[in-house]
Amino acid sequence: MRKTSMSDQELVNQYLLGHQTAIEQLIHRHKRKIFTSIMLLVKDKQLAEDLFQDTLIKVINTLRSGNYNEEGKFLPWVVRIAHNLVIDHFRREKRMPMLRETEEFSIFDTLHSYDENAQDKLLKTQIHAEIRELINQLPFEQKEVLLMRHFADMSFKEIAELTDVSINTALGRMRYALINLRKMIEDKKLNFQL
Amino acid sequence: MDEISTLNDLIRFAYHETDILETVLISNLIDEDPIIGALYHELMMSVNAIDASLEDPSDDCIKSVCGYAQSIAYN
Repeated sequence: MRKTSMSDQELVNQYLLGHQTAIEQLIHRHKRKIFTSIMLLVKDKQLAEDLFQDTLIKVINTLRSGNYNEEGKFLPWVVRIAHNLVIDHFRREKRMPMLRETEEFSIFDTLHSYDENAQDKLLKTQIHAEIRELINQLPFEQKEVLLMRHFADMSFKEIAELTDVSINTALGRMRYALINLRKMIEDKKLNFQL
Repeated sequence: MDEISTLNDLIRFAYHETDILETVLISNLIDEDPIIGALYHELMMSVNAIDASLEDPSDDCIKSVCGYAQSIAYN
């Protein structure tokens, strides 16, 4: 079986044919976006890990039951499952979720590679947590489109349809999200390229 | 291109949603127009910051999920 060049759909097909490593490849490929999108909502790492596991168990069970029909849209489907589980969790806890209920480059490219000491690692972890907190401070509509585009890999057309706005409005919200995020990073003088 | 559509086109370009012709046109614009180039650079700083903030679940968490996938494979 070919390894890293397979598309998500090809890996799903391979898993359904009984190739166990295919599902592991899918998990490793998308784990950061899925996990971080949950973390942004729940802000608690242990809870995020529990929900992450629940999400992937549901994904695996759905794939094995033959009910998966999201051709070419694996990540958006998984993130949708994750967000629905977050909403269910908040309902049980009787708290409102951070997002409205909906249906549906390479990591660390900018980081220079060098020998990190423990202090640098801790500083980097803190900076990344601060950036996630800044994302949470964005206005609701900007955060929503940012999560859908950047973490769930939905196209702007899909986002526009789901949020019932024009594509230019969705693009404008994303533009403001990125501009506002940049301003907040500058205000806090965060050096995320550490 | 008016200003708003140019800015929105930069967003689409940043997220690889432009067709081949648009990609070439926008790439040239970024290279030749210092204001557009600076705007694009600003946008990409934020895109890269979001990528940099991505976090891994723990190894135990991943092992648990992969273990589940394996366990039901034999059922």
